[in-house]
Amino acid sequence: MDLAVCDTCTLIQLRKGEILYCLNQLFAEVYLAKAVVEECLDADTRQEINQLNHFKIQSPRGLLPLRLGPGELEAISLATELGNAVLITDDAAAIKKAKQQGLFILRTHQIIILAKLAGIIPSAKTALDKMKAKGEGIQEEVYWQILQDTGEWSPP
Amino acid sequence: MMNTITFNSQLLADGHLYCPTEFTQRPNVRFQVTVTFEDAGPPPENGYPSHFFERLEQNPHTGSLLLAYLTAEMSLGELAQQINLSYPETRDWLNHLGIPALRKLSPELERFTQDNLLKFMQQRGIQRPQQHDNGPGGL
Repeated sequence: MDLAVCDTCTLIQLRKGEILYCLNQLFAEVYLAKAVVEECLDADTRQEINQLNHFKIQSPRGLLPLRLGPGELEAISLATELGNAVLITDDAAAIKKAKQQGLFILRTHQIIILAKLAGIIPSAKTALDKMKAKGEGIQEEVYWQILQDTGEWSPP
Repeated sequence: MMNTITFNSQLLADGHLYCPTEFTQRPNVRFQVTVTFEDAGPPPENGYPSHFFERLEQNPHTGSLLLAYLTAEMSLGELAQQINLSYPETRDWLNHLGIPALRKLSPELERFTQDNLLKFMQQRGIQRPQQHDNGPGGL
């Protein structure tokens, strides 16, 4: 599980939390499907992707016959082709379909938890608060659960 | 004599709100709607003009598309294609409606991804924090 394929939603979320670099430390190689990069329209995200040279931008050789958006479809198809790759996505429909393909899936908040527990990022709360400040919607229950799971908060 | 009855409604697939027939058939019925939703945080960093999403919210198909997204029948990328917005704009629109991107999914998907997290941690030798060994719900 040293390879990862990251979907658009996670890419946007981690960038807003300013912890995109943690993917490169959790995985030996991180792949981005071409359609995923195209879905991240803003120039800053594209520039950051290019600067973090661990990202490999690649299109799958073929597309699976699944009804999904272009980024999700390419990401799942690429993860399937690579084999033994972790698909990172936060999209429920994409998770459902990737699960049916037998893929190993992690979600964005789990990457934040792993990065904190592995000592890659100093604080999950800082990353989450940066995401929120940039307009990222985070369900309160999920927010507090992440802080609890990383040892940054205890329920009263 | 004026009577007031309060009942919980829900969004139907066509975007309308459900109302029991006993009220729809009464004459002179007036409705007051209270919408409650979880605060999904501040508006997008750069914001959008107030009319940006208006046409979508007036579209009778919007309710069914949202329902398909919320029940994991439709992905965000597919929803973006259906409503002719870019992927980031669609995320911001959902956030604007009070549907946060980072939220709990169905119990089945939650269980599946949680099992994956534990397997991944075990494989990498990543330890969970000691103080929450007996905590509810978490890792």
